[in-house]
Amino acid sequence: MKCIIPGANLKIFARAIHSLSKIGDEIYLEALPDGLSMRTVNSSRSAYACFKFVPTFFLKYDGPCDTQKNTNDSSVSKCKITTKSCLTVFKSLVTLEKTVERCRLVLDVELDRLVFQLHCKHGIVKTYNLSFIECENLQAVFSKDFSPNVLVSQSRLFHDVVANFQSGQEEITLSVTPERVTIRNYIDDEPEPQKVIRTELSLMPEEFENYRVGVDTEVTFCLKELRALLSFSESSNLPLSMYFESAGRPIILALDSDPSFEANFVLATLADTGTQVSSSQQSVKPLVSKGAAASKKNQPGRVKLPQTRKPPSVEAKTKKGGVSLQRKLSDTFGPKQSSSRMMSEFESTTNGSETVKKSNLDESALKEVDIADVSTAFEENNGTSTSCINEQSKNLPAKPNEVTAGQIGKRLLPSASDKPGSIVDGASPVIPAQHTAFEKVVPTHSKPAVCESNASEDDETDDDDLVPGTPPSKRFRSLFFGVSQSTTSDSQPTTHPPPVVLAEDSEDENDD
Amino acid sequence: MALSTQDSDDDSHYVLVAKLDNARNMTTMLKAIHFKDTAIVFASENGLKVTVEDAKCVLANAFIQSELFQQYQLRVEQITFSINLTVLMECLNIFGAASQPSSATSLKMCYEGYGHPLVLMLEDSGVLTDCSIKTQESNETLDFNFNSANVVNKIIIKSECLKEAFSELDMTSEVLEILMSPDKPHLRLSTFGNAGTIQSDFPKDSEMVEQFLCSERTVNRYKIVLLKPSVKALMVSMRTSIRTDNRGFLSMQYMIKMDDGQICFAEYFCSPDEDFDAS
Repeated sequence: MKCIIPGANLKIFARAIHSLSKIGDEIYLEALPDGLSMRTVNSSRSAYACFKFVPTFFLKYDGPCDTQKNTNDSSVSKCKITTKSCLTVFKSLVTLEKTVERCRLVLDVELDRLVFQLHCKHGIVKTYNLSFIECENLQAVFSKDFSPNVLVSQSRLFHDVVANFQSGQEEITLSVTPERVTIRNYIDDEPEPQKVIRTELSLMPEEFENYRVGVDTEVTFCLKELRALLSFSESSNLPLSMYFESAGRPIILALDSDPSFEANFVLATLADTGTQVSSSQQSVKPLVSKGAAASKKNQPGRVKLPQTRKPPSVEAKTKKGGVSLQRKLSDTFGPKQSSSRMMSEFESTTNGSETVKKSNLDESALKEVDIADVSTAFEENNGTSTSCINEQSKNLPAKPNEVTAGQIGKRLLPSASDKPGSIVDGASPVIPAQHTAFEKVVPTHSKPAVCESNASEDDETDDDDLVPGTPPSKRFRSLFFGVSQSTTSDSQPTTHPPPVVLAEDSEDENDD
Repeated sequence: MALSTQDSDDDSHYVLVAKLDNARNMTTMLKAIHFKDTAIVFASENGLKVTVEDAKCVLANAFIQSELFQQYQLRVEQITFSINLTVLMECLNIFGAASQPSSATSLKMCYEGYGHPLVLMLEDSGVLTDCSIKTQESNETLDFNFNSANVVNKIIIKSECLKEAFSELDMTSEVLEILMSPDKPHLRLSTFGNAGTIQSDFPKDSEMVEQFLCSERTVNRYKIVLLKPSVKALMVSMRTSIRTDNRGFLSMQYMIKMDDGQICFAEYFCSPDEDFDAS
């Protein structure tokens, strides 16, 4: 891999690296015949970013076929490098713009170094010999063409929208109808939901360059990644496109108007109110059919909050009536497929087949291990997903305040104690049956479906055993939980605040 | 406004009296070498020399020549005392670090002799401040014995291009390697950090290089933590002279321009990082 970037384009290249560094810790570089691609994925595998630079972006571009004849051609044209190392080269954008005339990038296999050579003014040459790691492909499978919803506008518009949200805001919800699009902040599990600032703004279709809403939907995704993309695009004010379908399906943010490069950010979206984890799918069906009577007593412990966490979306559904219910059903099953697909999409097969060539940083090596461990942890922690859901159930007492429509209220109460999927059922009270169902299934943690049941002592024990010292960090939890779709089956498990889990335990005992 | 009201007779018991219309000149020079709390002040008929040293490996001097002062009186040949540089800087900046051309802080520095404190009188827009800073005996000053005669390589370069290289030095590297050679690369600064090896090459024919006198190829390594403070002086300087002698000792001299156009010099000496495993 060998290419030369002219000074004029170097700013774009540097901004891309800064943007990628905000997403993940490693950049996968690959020189393909049709261009140089830089990809990264975040640690929870819920966000994928890819920048692709076509050969015309460079002064000179030698693709993989032109590189020296080495044993394995593929190893020559792609590598993985830590973003920290990359940032040492492109640290100061201002200086780069002022002094650098061109940048030469060479993947030197003999020396095992990725070499950035900045030719600056006055004949000064700065050479950065960075260690890289051999890697496999990082590929995400996504399709923009089949997205029913497309929003395209200048990035300045999105930047202005995002500026309205607090800097600490983790996730935002985008709801679209043919008449308008509403963006509001997403309230995660909060101890005092009444005291949380809510921000909401609406835009008319006229504000967008292209506004196509095929399916009225609501998607929730992480704001941090959008900000990362905007930091890249706002200076050049390129048109930013959003391709999405429905909650649970990934949303793709793309800058595809410039001929010389292309950026794609694929973000996981929060699964719809019915299901937080794919594992819930299996349990949803039987419970829905049970149609057990909902217990009118408000048992916080029984409350299945995922759907109640989003009263606004619930309201939206009621407006649509039966249709939405139907859709909910499909949605509940939909996300599962998407989540598992997302999982495979993001699989970079690094876990097994990676050889750390000269890992400059120990943490790079650790990162591989971490991903593997996390994946397995997720498998093991299926049981803890419910405890996560249950702790949100604590919010239920506050939630009903937001619910106005009687139908919603009716639906909420039963669903409060229902399994997440049961909201689909509408007013059918399901709790007691679920309760029994849960009790039955609880002991057998092996199946994810099982674990969807209320947190039992066993679940919590598992949780405690697996993650004995889980820090009660909400933010961490919401990062996993909030964008759980793309991770392995259950993403919530590892990070619950222990105190909440313990509270859950006592209630279970009472019920028993 | 200068403190012209001061009667010179009152100064008769002072061994050193120095008046400066713009105290900023002094603060700029002292800031360039302020990386340790203690400094040694050496006053002679030529002016003041303030020295700061660290770990017996690095030494910095700031020269404030007598011509810079509006009045400079020294009743003895030379005097030396040690003082807390941090406190001195704070006193000099007592009217605020930001300076406006209209209201410059004027300074009168007095020293009675061995055992007496250093007395400062600062005036700004009619407000007068008196400072009395305790002095200490000066320890043996470190002398690297850096002779011009032993200089092997010398490069004079505009500080502009060095500023960037030095401020972006990879601090995860333990050493900074300076290579000077009559052949390419003429001047190379290298660091070996966690990210990898970073090299900055400066060709001798660049318009940034004003003088290039290299007789032989020398490669020397210096501990980066020792050299990092020199960036302070580099930032305010216009020109830098880099010299190494036959022992590998590094001398960096910085030409600093004052607000009123006068030139002062600061210099850093650093001992090389040796590998002792071979012998």
